[in-house]
Amino acid sequence: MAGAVGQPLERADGASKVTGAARYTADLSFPGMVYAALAQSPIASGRLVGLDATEAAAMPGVLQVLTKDNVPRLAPCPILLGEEGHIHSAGQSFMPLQDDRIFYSGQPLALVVAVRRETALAAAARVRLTTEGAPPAAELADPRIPEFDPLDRWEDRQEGGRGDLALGLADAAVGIDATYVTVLQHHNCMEPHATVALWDGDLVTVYDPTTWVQGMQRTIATWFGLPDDHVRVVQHFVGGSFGGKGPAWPHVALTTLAARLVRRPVQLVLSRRQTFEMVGHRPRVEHHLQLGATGDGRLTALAHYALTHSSPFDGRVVAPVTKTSRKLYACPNVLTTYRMKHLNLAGPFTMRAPGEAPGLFALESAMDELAYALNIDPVALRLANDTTTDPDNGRPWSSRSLARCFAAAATRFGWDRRAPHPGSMRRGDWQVGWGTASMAYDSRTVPTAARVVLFNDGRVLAESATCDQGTGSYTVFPQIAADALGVPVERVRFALGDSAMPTAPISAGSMTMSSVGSAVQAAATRLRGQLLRLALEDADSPLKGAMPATIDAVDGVFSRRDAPQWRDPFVAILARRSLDHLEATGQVKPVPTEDKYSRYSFGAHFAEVLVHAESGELRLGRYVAAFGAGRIINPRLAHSQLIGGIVWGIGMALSEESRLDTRLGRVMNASLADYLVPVQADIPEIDAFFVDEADPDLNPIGTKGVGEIGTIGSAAAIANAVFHATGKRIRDLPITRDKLMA
Amino acid sequence: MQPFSYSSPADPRVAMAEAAVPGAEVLAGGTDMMQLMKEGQRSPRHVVDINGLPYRGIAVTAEGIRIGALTRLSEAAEDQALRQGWPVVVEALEASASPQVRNLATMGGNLLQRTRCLYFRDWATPCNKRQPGSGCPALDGQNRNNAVFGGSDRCIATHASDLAVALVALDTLVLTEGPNGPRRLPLADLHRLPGDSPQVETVLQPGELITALVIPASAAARRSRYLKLRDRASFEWALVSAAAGIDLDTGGNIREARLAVGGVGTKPWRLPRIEQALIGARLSPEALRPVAELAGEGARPRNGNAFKVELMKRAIVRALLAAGEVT
Ligand SMILES: Cc1cc2nc3c(=O)[nH]c(=O)nc-3n(C[C@H](O)[C@H](O)[C@H](O)COP(=O)(O)OP(=O)(O)OC[C@H]3O[C@@H](n4cnc5c(N)ncnc54)[C@H](O)[C@@H]3O)c2cc1C
Ligand code: SF4
Repeated sequence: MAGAVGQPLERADGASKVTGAARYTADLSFPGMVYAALAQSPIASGRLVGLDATEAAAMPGVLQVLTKDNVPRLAPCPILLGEEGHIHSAGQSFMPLQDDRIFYSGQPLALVVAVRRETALAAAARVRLTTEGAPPAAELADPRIPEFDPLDRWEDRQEGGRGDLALGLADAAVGIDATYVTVLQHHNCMEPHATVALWDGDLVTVYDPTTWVQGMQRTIATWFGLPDDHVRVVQHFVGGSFGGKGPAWPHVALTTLAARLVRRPVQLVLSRRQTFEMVGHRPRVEHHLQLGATGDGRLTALAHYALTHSSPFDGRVVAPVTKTSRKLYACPNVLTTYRMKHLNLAGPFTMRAPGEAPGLFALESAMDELAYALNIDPVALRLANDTTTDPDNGRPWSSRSLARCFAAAATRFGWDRRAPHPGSMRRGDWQVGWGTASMAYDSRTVPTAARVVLFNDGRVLAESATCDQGTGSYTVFPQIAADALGVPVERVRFALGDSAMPTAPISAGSMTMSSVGSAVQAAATRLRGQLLRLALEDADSPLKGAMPATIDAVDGVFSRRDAPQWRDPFVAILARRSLDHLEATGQVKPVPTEDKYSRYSFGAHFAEVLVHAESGELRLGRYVAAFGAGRIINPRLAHSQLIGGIVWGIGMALSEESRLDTRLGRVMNASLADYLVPVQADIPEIDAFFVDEADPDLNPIGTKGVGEIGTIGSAAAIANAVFHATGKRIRDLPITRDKLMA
Repeated sequence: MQPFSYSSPADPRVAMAEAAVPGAEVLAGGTDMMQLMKEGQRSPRHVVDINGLPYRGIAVTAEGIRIGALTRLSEAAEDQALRQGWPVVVEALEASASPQVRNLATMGGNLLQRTRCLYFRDWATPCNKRQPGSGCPALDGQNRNNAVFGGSDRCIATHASDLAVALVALDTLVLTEGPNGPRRLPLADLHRLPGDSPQVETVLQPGELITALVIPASAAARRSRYLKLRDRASFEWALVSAAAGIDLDTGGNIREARLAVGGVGTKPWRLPRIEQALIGARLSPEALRPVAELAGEGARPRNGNAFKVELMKRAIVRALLAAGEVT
C-alpha cells in the first residue's frame, strides 16, 4: 500500500483560510481586551526633548499613555543569531521607551492604550512630540560613515578563503571585476504583525504570529525578569513571515508591558507602514566581485567583498551573502570579506534566502559576464567548475545534483536553440533574452523534539512547538507521522505554535521539514514500538509472542507478514489495557561538528525575458527551474514553495525596492501600492520541478528544505536574460525601465 | 483617524450645504478618502456620504455620452456604448486599480483623487500640498512618480488618474452643482496648476459637487487607444501613459488627433501643439517620432524622473500607432 509520504495532499488548513475561519492574532478577542497604538518619531536620529500627552490622555476611552517617563525598565536581551546557545529571539538590542534616544524613523516614542482601537489611534496622533534631530546616516555609499567588522557571526563565517587570490587573478586569461547591488527590501507578508498579551498575576500569555514561540518565550522572560515557565507564547496561524516574524521585536515587549500596567488584555496590530519601520528588512548589499578564469573556463580566482549595514546599535550578520561564493564552484584561489556600517534604520533581519538570494545575484551575474568574456555557453561554464567536494572544507557533498538540474531544465527550456549573441533573438517588436543561473543553498537539520499521541478511538495527535507560516506544517507532518506509525493520514492531526509543546527551532532557513519532520518520525516510530511491545506481550493478542520484525502496521492494525489473518488493531491493544491514550516523544540530535559531509541543495534556473524594443517594457516569457532537494514529502506543497520562491526572485529582479529618502532616513514607499511586489500579471508560466535525489546522509527523513531555493539565483537568471535580450548589463536591482532606457 | 460625524443625505441641496461647511469632506466610493483619513492626511470633522444622490447611470445623448458622477468605474468599463464610441476611456478604466477597487470607485471621485506623491501620503514628512508652507521634499527626494510638466518650486505632484488623461484628450465637460447653482466646465479647466498654492487642486467651490461628465462623440474618440506603462503589469498608477485618438483621411494620414499624457503632469496633460503637428502625418514610427519629440519641450525633469521624458515620447508613438489599428 502506498504511504502518505510522497502524496500530493491538499493543505489541511486551506479551507479554513479561504473561508476566513482561521483566526490570526489580529482576529483574536478576549473579555476586557483593550487596544494599543503607537506614537512614533518622524526623525531618524536625535533625541526626544518634549512629550505632551495631555490631550491624548484626556480623550474619553484612553486608559493610559506609556512613555519613557512612566514605564519600568526592561532587562536587555541578547541578539545572537546562529550561534551555539542562541536561545533568544530579540530582533534588536535597542528597546524604545526606555530613554530619550532616537535611532530610526518611526521609532515608538509613546504607546496609547484605549478601550477602542479607533480611540487609541486617534489619541496616538495627538501625542505632541518635540524632537531634536541630527542628519541621519542613511546612505551606505557615504564615505563619511565608518565601516566595521560584523559583531555577531553565523555558524559559518562570512570572511574566508583559500589559496592566493592575487596569484589566481594574475594567472587568469580573462577576468571580471564588477560591483553589484542588491537593495533594501521589506518582507511584506500579508498578515501584519500583531500581539495580544494577557497577564494572570505573574504569568503572561502572549499571542503573536512569531515563527519561534519558544525564542519569544525566553526573550519575554528575559525582558521582564521572569522564569521561562511564567511566559507562554501561542500562535496558530502565521500569515507569511519570510523571516520577519522570526524575532521578538520591541512592539511585543511594549504590548506585554502595557497589558501589565493597565491590567487588561492588550492588543496591538501594526499598520502596513509600521511593518516597514520596525520589524526587520533585507539590508542593501554592495557586492564587489572579482573572477579570473583560464581560456577554457576554469576558475582561477574568485573574490566576493560585501558591504552592508546594520542598525546604529547592533552589528550582526543577517544577510550572509559571501559564504556560498566560497563553496559553489571549484576554484583554487578564493577570498571573501564582509564589512558593515551603522545606518539609522531599525534592526535588519533575515529575509527569504537571506544570504544566497542577494549573494548569488552577484556571483551568478558575474559568472554570466565571464561566460560572455570567454565566449563560452553559460551552462557549460558552470559545469566546467562543478565539484564533487565542498571546496571550502574539503568534505564530499552528501549529494549534489547541480549538473543533473542543468541538464533537465535546459532540455525542458530548449536552451540548445539559444543564439549566443546579445540582441540576436527577436519576436516581433520584442527582443528576446534567455538567461540561466545556478542555485545553491545550505540544508540544515537542528535539534528538535516532537510528541505523538494515539487515542483509544484511533485518532492520532502529533505536536511540536513549530509554526505553519503558509508552508504546510499542518499537512506534511501528519503524512510523516501516519507512515511511521502505520495509520491513515486522515486520522492524524498536527498541533503547533505553543511554547509549552516539545522543543522546536525557529522556523527559518528552510529547516522545518528536516528538523521537525525527523523528530515527528522519531516520536511516531517510538510510539509504534511501544504499542507493538504491548501487543506482543499480551496473552490476549493474536500476535502474542511473534517476532517484532515480522509485523507490519497498516491502517492502524498490526498484522503478521507471513499470516496476515493474525491481526491486532491499535485501538484493541489500548482497550485491553484500559488506556485512553499512549504517547511517545522523539528527538533529532544535532549534527556532530566533526561531520563527514557538506549538505547543500542545488538547482538551475532558466528565464526568458521579452523587452520591447521601443518602450523598454519588460515581460517574462517563460520560466523553467530544476532542483535537487532530497526526498519530497508532499509534491504539491513543495512545488508551491518553488513557485512562490521564484515569484519572490521575480520581484527582487524587477520591482521590489524600499526607497529611502536618505535625508530623512525614511522609507518613502511604505505601502503595498508603492512597494511593488509582483502581481499575477507579471508572472509567466513557471515550470519548476525536482530531479530525483536520494540522500540518506542528510537526516533521518532524507529531506532538504524547499522554502528558499526558488528565490536563490532567480534574480540573476532574469538579469542575465535581460543582458542577452538587450546587451545591457544591469548590476543594480531592481531592473526597472529607466535603467534599461539609460 | 480622528472622530467625525457622518450623514448620507438623499437631497442634493442638503448634501451641498453640509459639504460647504469648513471641515466637511465628501465621500463617494471612499477608495481614496478612506485611505487619506486612516493615514491622517485628512481629518474631517464631518463626512457627507453622497451615494444616496441621483448621480448614477450612463446615457448616450445628442452631445455624446453622459456619465453620472457616482457611476462605478466597473459599470462604465462594461458599458457597450462607451466601448464602441470612446474605447480610450474604457481602456483607461480597465488599466486602473483592480476589479475590487473599480467596483467601488466612482467616476467623479476618480477625477478628484489625491496625488500619489510619496511625501503627500506620509504623515511624517513635510509637504506643501498637505501642510501649506512646510516644504517640498519631493523636489530633490524620491520623485520617480512625480511630474515633469506643470510643476512649481512648491510642488511637482502628478495628477494620478488614468481616466482623466483619456477624458481630457476627448474634450470632456464636467457638470457640477453647488450652492451657487449648476455649471459646465471643460475638464481641462477643472484642475489647477500648483503654483504657489498646491493645496488648492481644483476650481470647485466649497459644497460644489460633480454631478456628471459629458464626453462628446467624434471620429477621433471612436478610433482611440490608451497605453499605460508602469513598473509592474497591473495594480499600479502610470509611470507614463498616453491617450491617443485619431481620425484618418482617405490616404491613411492623420486628419485630426487627440493626445494627452499621464504620469508626467501636475494635472491631466493634453498636448495641443502635438495634435496640431500631427495633422497630415503618416502613421509610421518614422513619421511619428519627430513629432513626439516636440512633446519634451518645456519639461522640467528632476533627478528621479528624467527618464519619463523619453518614455513619454515612446509611449506617444506607440499609442498613436495602436489607435491607427482600431477598426
Ligand atoms: C489600490 C488602488 C489602486 C488604484 N489604482 C489606480 C490606477 O491605476 N489608476 C487610477 O486612475 N486610479 C487608481 N486608483 C484610484 C481610484 O481610482 C480612486 O481612488 C477612485 O477612483 C476614487 O473614487 P471614489 O469614488 O472612491 O472617491 P472617494 O475616495 O470617495 O473620493 C475621492 C475624492 O473625491 C471627492 N469626491 C468624490 N466624488 C465627488 C463628487 N461627485 N463631487 C465632488 N467631490 C467628490 C471626495 O471628497 C474626495 O476628495 C487606485 C486606488 C486604489 C485604492
Ligand atoms: S510634490 Fe507636492 S505633494 Fe509632493 S511633497 Fe512636494 S508639495 Fe507635497
